[in-house]
Amino acid sequence: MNKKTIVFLLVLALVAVACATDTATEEVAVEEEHDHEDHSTLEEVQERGFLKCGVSGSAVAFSETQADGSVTGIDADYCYAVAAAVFGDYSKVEFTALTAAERFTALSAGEVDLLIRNTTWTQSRDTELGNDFGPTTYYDGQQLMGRNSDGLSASSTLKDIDGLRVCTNAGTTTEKNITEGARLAGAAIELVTVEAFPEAMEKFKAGECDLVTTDGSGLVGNRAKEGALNDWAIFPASPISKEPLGPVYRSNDSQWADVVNWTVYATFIADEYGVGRANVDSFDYDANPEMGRLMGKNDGELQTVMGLSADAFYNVIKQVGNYDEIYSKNLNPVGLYREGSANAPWTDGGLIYAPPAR
Amino acid sequence: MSDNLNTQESPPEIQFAGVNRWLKENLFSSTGSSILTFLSVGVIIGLFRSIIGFFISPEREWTAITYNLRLYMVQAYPESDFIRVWITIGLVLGLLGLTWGFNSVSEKVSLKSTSTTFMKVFSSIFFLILIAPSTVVIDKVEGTEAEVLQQSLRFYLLGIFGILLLSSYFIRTRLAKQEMAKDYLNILYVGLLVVALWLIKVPTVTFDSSNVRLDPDPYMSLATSTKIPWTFLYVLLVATFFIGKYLSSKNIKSVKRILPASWLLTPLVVVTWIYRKPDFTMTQIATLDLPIIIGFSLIGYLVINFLNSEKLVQYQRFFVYGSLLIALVVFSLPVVRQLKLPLFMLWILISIAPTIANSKESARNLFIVWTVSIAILILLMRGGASESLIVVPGSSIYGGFALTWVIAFFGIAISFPFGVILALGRTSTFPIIRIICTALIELVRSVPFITWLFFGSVMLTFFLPSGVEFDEVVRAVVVTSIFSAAYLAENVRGGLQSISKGQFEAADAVGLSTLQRISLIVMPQALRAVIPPIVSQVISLFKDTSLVAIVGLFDLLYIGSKVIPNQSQGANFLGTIQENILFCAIFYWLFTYSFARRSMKIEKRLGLGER
Repeated sequence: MNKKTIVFLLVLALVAVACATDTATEEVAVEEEHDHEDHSTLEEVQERGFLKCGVSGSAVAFSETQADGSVTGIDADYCYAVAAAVFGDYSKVEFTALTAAERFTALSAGEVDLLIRNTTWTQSRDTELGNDFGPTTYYDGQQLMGRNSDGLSASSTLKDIDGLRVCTNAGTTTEKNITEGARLAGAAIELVTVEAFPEAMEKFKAGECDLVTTDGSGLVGNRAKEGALNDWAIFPASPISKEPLGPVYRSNDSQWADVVNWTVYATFIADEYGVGRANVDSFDYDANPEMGRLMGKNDGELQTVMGLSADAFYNVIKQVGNYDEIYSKNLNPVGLYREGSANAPWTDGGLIYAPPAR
Repeated sequence: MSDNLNTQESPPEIQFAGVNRWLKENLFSSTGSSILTFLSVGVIIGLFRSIIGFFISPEREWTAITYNLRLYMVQAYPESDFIRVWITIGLVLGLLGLTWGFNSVSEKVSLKSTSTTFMKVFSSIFFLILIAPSTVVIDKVEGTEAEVLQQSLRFYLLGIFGILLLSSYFIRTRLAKQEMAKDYLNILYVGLLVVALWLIKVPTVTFDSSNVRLDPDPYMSLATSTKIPWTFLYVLLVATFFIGKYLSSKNIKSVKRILPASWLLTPLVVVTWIYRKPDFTMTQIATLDLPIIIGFSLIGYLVINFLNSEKLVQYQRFFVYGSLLIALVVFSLPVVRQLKLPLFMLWILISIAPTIANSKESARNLFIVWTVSIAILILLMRGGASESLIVVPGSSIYGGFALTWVIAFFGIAISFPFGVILALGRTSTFPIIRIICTALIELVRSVPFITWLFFGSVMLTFFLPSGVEFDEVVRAVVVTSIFSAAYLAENVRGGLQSISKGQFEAADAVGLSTLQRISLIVMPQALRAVIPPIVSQVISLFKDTSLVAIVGLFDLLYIGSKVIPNQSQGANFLGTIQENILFCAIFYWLFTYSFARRSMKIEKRLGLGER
């Protein structure tokens, strides 16, 4: 090989690589522009084109993974609702399955925009972890489950458990609540502690204890699993602890907080006026100006100020439904009903209440 | 064998001395042993009855598994892109068929032993059907009983297996002298499995018009969506088997090299191109990738031909260090990825070119290998780096068995070379390398796997610069392979220590370089000695993949133990944990047992434990 050919080949090679690098640097520059720290979550989500929502993925009626991999449940539905409000398309959600241990870290690290993972709103979680809590979407609370054959019924109280054996998991607030509650009611109970709740359930079924205790939704789910709707009773009617479950987002992001809060409130208000998926198009908005404003039927200024489109909440109701529809679809199949519970609308003595839209 | 001095090659055939005599000698030799025989037969029958009772009890919801098979396999992978999954399986099966056919040995099996095995299997099933409980108490409170195995069904099944038993007995007596190639027999077995897909009915969940779940219809057959692809893939497997056999008969040497390379390449192609839908344009490839490929190919040509000239070969050391320096500098600069890795490959080429390309023909071969590998690397990077266009209705494409498999496969594939390097580093005479390797191994080993997974999932984001994000699956794979590599390194180090000093000295005496000594003398012996612990490591890694559930990834076991037993909507499988856990256990067993069988074969071939 002579020198000329070598030099020619070398030049050719360098030119080829240089050509490629030119176009390449442009690509890198574009990529670097995406680096953003001070944007609000809403802008970030809108720019990205989909919502990242943290759920459990394996919680009965709250977020279940179905046979085709899709996620359903009341938590999942509120993720869909926020996506409907932001994009007008409920399906623009990417779910991230989070364990109880990593949920808050994932939220603060920005891996999810919104955390709806049956998370109880407590003072320490609200103040110490850099999170804020949205309006409660489900009021849960610790209850007890016993056998009808022991003379227990849905109207029993803590006084009736005197002398019975109670199974619960050790070292949790559940254990503390039942001990304190029984002492206040003057009932002497024998506490049987186990490692995890499924074990407590096994002991209850085997007759090694007369009562089990955990969150009401969990008890109902287990009663439905065993098909013992008429044999086991869940009581007391007003739970012995407060477990409000709702959406969580990062602190200091008022715009994003407003979007999430008002999406939830919109489902409450629509429920209050009886506007659902079926009648959202045919509803007489002139007769009800508040619904008209919320659905963006006049100018929709209330929504555009928030950074959403005027018909954002119309899309929520149209595509996902109002609170009653979301609740009934997900929680009725496992035996949880709104009537008489804290999840009834405020007009029926419940706690589901939203500020007015005006 | 001490008192048997018969030096015949095949062991003498044991003569069957008659049922009565056998029974008398083995089971009823005395009153005590007769009692024991009856007792243990009673216990065994009772045990089998309760196991079958568990399986066929109407309380069992086996539909929870058949209905959720898709979730088990790929989680949320969209149905419209299933063709990609089938292409993946087809690629692997095609390669498998080629390798199988190419390496097939004309081993023959007598029909007698085959039919004896079948007789054993069929008579066991016959016996199990015979003793299957017909009634099981369903409701403990109300005491109602339900018929589990109807007598008519029992007789029907007994008839089928009776006929099968008789026909295998017929083959055993009439065609005992016939022989059949083992490979054809295996093809026949796989074929029977595929035929079973078309014949065997599996209960499937169906819904009526108002979306209410109907009772499972036991006479619905498997979904057509899997029957047809599997049949097609079977044909592909058989076809590639014969192609491989043909190539083997033609004695084409290059196939021997291409096959292992394709096996290594397949998973990478699958992950970067087939399993996802890369978003790329032809202009990107034409303006960016092609120039780089051509450029590096030309540079490689120059290196191979020019660097070997007598004038320059004495400066080779400077070229090696210079190219490494350039590669490292470019790696830290913000240029496109497509330029970074090839520069490292160029460094390797410059280091090895003078030793390998010493004749005209080998220089040509090296150039071809260089160009092909650069092209493959660039195209793989193009596929892997561009965004996937597959819309997934969930968090991750991978889930279920696909996830388990990806983590296990890449965990093993990455940890093996890494572990060997760590082991060599720990036994190295360079203090700095030895200290680094020892520290790494001890650090990784002294912290539980779960902690490392948490570290990868939760804490890594705080260490990385903002904007740099890794997929959760990638993080899990990286953590798994590093963890496994530390253990593997210790296994390999055990193998290294078993090699006598004489081997090292002998290698030095023939004048081998360090690299040659390690790759030709030490490693083959060391690795051969540690096959059993390495296989254990592989099996335990495969099972450890179930721990990724704690960082929110849905692997096979998590879907079985937590996800399906919590499905209340649609089909409602609340509380079906026993069925699902059992299914997962069988699934894991199938894979781990086949690993173990495979390793036994390798050990046998290498004559491990005999020399």
